[in-house]
Amino acid sequence: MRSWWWATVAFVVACGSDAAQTGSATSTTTATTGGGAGGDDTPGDGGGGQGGNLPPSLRIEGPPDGLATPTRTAEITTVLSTSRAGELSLVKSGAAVHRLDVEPGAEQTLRLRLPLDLGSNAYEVRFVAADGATATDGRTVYGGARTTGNLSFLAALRDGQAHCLGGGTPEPKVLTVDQVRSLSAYGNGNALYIVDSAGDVHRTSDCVTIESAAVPAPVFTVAVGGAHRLYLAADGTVWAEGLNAEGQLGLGDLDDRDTPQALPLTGVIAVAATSDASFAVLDDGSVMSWGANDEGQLGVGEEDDAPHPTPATVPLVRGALAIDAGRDHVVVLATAGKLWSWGGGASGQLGDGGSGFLGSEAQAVAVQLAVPAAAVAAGGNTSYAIALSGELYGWGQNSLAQLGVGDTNQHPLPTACVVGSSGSIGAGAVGATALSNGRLYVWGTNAGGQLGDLPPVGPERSSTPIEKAWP
Amino acid sequence: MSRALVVGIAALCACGAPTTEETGPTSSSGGYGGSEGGHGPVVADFEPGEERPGGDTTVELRDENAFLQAAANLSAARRGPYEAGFALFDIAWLAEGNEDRDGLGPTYLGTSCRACHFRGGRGTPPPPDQPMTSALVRLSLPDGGGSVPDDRYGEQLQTKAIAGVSPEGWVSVAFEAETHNFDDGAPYELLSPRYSPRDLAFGSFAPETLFSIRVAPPMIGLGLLEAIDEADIRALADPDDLDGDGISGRTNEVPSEAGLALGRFGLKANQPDLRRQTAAAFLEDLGITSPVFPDDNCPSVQVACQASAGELDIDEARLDATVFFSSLLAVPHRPEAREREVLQGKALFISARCDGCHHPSFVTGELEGFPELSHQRIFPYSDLLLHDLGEGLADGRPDFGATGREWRTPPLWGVGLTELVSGHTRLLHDGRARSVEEAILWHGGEAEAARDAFVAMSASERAWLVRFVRSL
Repeated sequence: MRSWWWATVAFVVACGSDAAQTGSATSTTTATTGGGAGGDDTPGDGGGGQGGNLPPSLRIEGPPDGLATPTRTAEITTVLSTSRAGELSLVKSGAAVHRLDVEPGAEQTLRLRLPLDLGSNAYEVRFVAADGATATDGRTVYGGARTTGNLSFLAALRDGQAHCLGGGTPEPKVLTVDQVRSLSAYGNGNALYIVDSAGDVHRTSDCVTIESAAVPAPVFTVAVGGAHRLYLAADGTVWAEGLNAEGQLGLGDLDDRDTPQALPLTGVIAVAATSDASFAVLDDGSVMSWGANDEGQLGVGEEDDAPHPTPATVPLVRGALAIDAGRDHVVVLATAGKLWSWGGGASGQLGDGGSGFLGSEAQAVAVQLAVPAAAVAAGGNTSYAIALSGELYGWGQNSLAQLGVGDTNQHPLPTACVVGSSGSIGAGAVGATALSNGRLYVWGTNAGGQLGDLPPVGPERSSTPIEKAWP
Repeated sequence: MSRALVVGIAALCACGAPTTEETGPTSSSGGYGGSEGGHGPVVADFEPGEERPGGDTTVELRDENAFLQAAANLSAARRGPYEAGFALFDIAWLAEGNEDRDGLGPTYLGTSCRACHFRGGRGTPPPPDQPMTSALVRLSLPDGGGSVPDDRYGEQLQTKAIAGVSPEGWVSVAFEAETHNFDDGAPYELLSPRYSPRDLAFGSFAPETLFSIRVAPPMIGLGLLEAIDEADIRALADPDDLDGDGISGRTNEVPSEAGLALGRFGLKANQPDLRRQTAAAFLEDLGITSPVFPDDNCPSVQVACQASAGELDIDEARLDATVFFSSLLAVPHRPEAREREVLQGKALFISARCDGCHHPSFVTGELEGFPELSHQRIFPYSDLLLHDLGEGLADGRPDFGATGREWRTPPLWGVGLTELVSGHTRLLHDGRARSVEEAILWHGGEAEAARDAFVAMSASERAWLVRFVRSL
């Protein structure tokens, strides 16, 4: 009767419960009466005709193992089959951080919320049926951005070291900041912002000289706008500094600030900034926007030339998990892998199929990505999504080969990137960098030596990924 | 039918209906849901055509853009004017400097039609302490049995203004929850709105000021409603409840370009046709004047507003294009119309007499200039008449012939797509209901018996009825 799903259950015998913490995916299933180890379990007749008394099976569907996301939480999608009711829990550092009561059913998709610390976060999803049978699976999520890009540089992070490509020379530079955890940049700018393991922020415009940016709270990530910054603190508060003619600091006035000021927001899980507007995702799944609205980038349904210095909720969007912004557009990841976008769309960067004079949208439109997404990135007039399966897609402006899709045509719909699966994507305005299975890839313009030797010795640009050695 | 009898039948229905689906399909007796023998849930007949509630205009698409689709039977030759109207719906108006799209204000609510009519869908109340983005506030002062506009703020609070002109202010909304119980003991919660005026530019409201908060209504199927023969609507009116069923139904006789006419549009049926409705929205919501309403909306105390009031903003052709577009937004089809639970819900909808106001079906007449909309069998689930919905929903604000307790029956088609299209599930004129169930539970007055019947239903019956409504 219920054996149709049983046949699809794959057993992976657990050899060590610590496996998840090493980053390799592990899945175990333990039958009720199997004496604990469960090593000799085989899918048999289900315990002598008791009709559906089958061991539960569980797998993590996404995000892909090791995915990097500059958000304070991640949504873990699991698929569970169980013939008994029970409790599903998400365990991190030995403590359950999210629990769900589950009814019996085959192939149930269940979503759990994982709080992220800066750096690697190992977790385990554990199902315990009412009769004591268990099933587990584990992976890691990286809290923070491991790749980024701007007009001058592409930058990537490994083992706490940040590497900088471009800036007028083909030689990679290693930033003199220890224990780096996250990188940020404004795609159309020149500065890099670096967050270290203590939550301190550093910045550089040449990848050589490092300045420190004083923020009153330990920082999780930085959203860099055209001339302003939002610092998302590890406690969910947000601090803003910079120019404010459009109200992009969100402080209710138009006065510039040269030191970070606290915004009246709490429970923020992600932030983003365009050239002169700002965005925050709250832990209730709503998105707030403030600043300039000349391209409809606030997503409130209309565009205008007035400053908007007070954060307001973006209509239509619910269940938001992550956000990134390009020069004047926004891409939001919502629950179940749904993508929304709004703002400037002349180059197809909204991914709804539109482009040109009427391509901009002042209210959220659905990105036409056929598969569920796990992460988003935007820079300049380009956008990217990493699918739940790990595959990378890009859309938008592509005249400088910034999408890495094998051509230089504009793509107003999501298009598979040549690099294939990716665990981190950094979108600059003129190129991008991605990590794929631990390897570092770059594409786009080579005007600053991002790809290697400067033109004319090296290529002017590349629409296919070029692997760079980690220094 | 007396109210007592309605309740009696509903109670019988509730008693006779098992809470499981174990029994096989049961055919209904003439489409009415009264259970005769207690042999399982009554299943209403599927009526051919009801799965296509907009007749030949019906579209298949049911994604978040489902309310912005042109009538399926709109010919390619007529797509041009439709797209021209769509552009006018979509465009952000400017105060000045662009001949093609200026005229915004002096005061206004949004810079475009779609600023409130997100994706052609339903508006929602704002989050706490934030201004409305898809709802508005109507104002009036009691005057004898009727009402007059506030002499400082006019009839509608304008939350925005062009440079040099002061916005009038805004209103924040908070909700208070109150718990009640179904007859089976299950609790439910209703939210009552509380309004607070903010940043009023021309002084406090008088204490007797009447407010009415209205969320933007969905844009679908409007031309089909205009195409219904006036006689068919008038035939449903029963102003003195001569049939004694507790449901009256009154027409609102409102100004038109040719004297008084039957009101069909607006939450209180205060506009006779889409042309006037569209022109009123242009004026009141965008500050765009047109040949129908050529004067900007500036009360005499608003000197800066008056000084900025200008010439006619849009001409006849552009108003016509917008009306053409608004008339031809299609209604989506109903893929679940034949499902058993949906038909069980339909039977309960009928047995509870929800259809006394939410009149299921019409055949449209001849609407001049719109062959697409003429002679279509449609299922709007509205009689377009005014009904007293009781004190709970009353806004106390009369509107032509409508009293402060009366509302026009809103069409139900597409209601189940609200969440997908509009990103929320808020219903009723001010968006206080968070679900179809809560919207039903707010009904009073002429709909009290239907509400009571719903309260008396079992949990599965309530679920079927809601499922039916959401399938529309």
